[in-house]
Amino acid sequence: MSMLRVDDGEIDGLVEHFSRVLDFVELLGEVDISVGADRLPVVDGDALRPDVTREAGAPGGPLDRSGLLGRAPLASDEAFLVPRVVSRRERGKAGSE
Amino acid sequence: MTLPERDASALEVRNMVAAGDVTCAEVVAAYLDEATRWQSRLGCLVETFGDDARTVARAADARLARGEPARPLEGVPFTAKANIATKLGETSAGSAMLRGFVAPEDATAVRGMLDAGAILVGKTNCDEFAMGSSCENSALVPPGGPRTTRNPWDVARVPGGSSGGGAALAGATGWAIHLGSDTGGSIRQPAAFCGVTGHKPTYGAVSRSGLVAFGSSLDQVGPFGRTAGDVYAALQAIAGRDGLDSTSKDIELPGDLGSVPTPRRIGVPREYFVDGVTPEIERRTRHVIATLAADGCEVVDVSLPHTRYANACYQVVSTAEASSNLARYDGVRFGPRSESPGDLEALYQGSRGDGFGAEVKRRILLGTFVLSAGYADEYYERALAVRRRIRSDFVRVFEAVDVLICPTSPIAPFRVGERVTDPLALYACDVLTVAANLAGVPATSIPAGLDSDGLPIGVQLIGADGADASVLALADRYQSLCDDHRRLPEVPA
Repeated sequence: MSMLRVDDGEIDGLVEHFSRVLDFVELLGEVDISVGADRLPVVDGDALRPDVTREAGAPGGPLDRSGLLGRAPLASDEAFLVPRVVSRRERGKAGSE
Repeated sequence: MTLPERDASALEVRNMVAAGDVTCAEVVAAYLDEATRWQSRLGCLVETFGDDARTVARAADARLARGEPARPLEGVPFTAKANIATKLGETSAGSAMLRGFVAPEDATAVRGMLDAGAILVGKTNCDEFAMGSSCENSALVPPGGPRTTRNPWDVARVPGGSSGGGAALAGATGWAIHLGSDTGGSIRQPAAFCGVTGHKPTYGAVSRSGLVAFGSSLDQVGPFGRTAGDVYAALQAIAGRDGLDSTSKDIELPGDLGSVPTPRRIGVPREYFVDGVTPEIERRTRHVIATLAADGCEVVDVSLPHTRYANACYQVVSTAEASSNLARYDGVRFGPRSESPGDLEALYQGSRGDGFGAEVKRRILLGTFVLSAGYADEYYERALAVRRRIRSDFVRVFEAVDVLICPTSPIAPFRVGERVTDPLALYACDVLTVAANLAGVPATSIPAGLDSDGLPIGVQLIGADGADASVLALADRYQSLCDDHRRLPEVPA
């Protein structure tokens, strides 16, 4: 799920590490969260921004196409250019030509 | 030309520039010389911007020569941690995953410093993606220095982390401001280890726009400086509501720290003086409290009963958020791509496996686990419920007192390599700092003298939500009563 390649040699160390961390985290089980649960937000303030349109170029506003494409390492006039992800052989196998 | 004293604060440097006693160009040139001298011992900088900084300094001098008023940080050198976006240089976050990445924009905090007249002179080393407490987890090798960043008070020891590079340079030199970030103590713990003042602002007080995300509900950009006054001036430059960060907000930061009423009710949280805090650190912390009591502060014992759960709560919340934030580094959207991937899944796994270091992988794996179906209720939801109780503790206690005082770190700076093989021992370093991040409240670490080995000790001042000015006013008051913050290590030969 975490999309990480873990080498065989790393597995024992990771298992031991997670066992220790999860044992430590079990401490949270001591807290009775079924009673007196307050409704304080986790962080203060309202994280929702006003639902208003912002002009291009304004803080938080949209970038225009050329501004956006100009930030990419590689781009054409209308799209980001990225290296091929799946080989032609793989695509052929998937029948998605 | 009269250069400032070596231990001069950033504000003293700024005032000398404003008075015409020294030029911005002279300040920048001298500071870069000093930083270079320390770099060979400390490896605190990952990049310097000498030519650009000199050009900006000359332009500032020209403005002043035309009679324009000096800005609040005119001519003050500053650095940014490697995880804070700057258009100059790389923003790698100490990771091979972002090596070579040049940000298209400055972070909002960096822009604030530049607008205030400060001059960017370099980027500082940090643990990869700000995950660590020793600055030993960086994938970067500091140019012209040791392989890992060192403590200026004893180069066999770590500077703390994750903002270890900025703290080390701040500990070695005066004059400058250094921007770091603090997710679980990453400004305060290295500030304590290196003998400087470091402030974690109220959550939202400083925009996170341009900060490479680790734990988004915990991360804050904040400054290191020699004095509370320096840190306050930098905070004024970088704080405020920003349209690029919907969690940002305005807090009250009156124009002059001297005009902020000094808090008079000090709380001493008993849960922060526990086994594991060294006797010398406890003694120095109680000395700070006694000094302020003798100055007229009322001292009250208080309790934050959920403190003992804070570190466990932090491990769950921060890794969960990290696993989500770092999902974008897949070799397609961000990060170098694995060679000969085969298929898409192998491409993701290979790119992430190659690009992330061991500590980052551990945290991603743990965070993925605590968010996974079947375990999210047991770990993540429970941690959020505990977090609310931790926050509630702070809200309640600040009805009775203005500022809490406690140690910043339970231990002194440890030797390089001493804790590398035991991540849990490293996590324990954060035991006294993580609660402020979980609660979102402001906290400052100030120097409080040296221990018997000549290593710095830091004391932490924690305030109520939005009370950054009060916290720093109390720090400023303490610094007017002692000279702990003026001490510098000996200059290398």
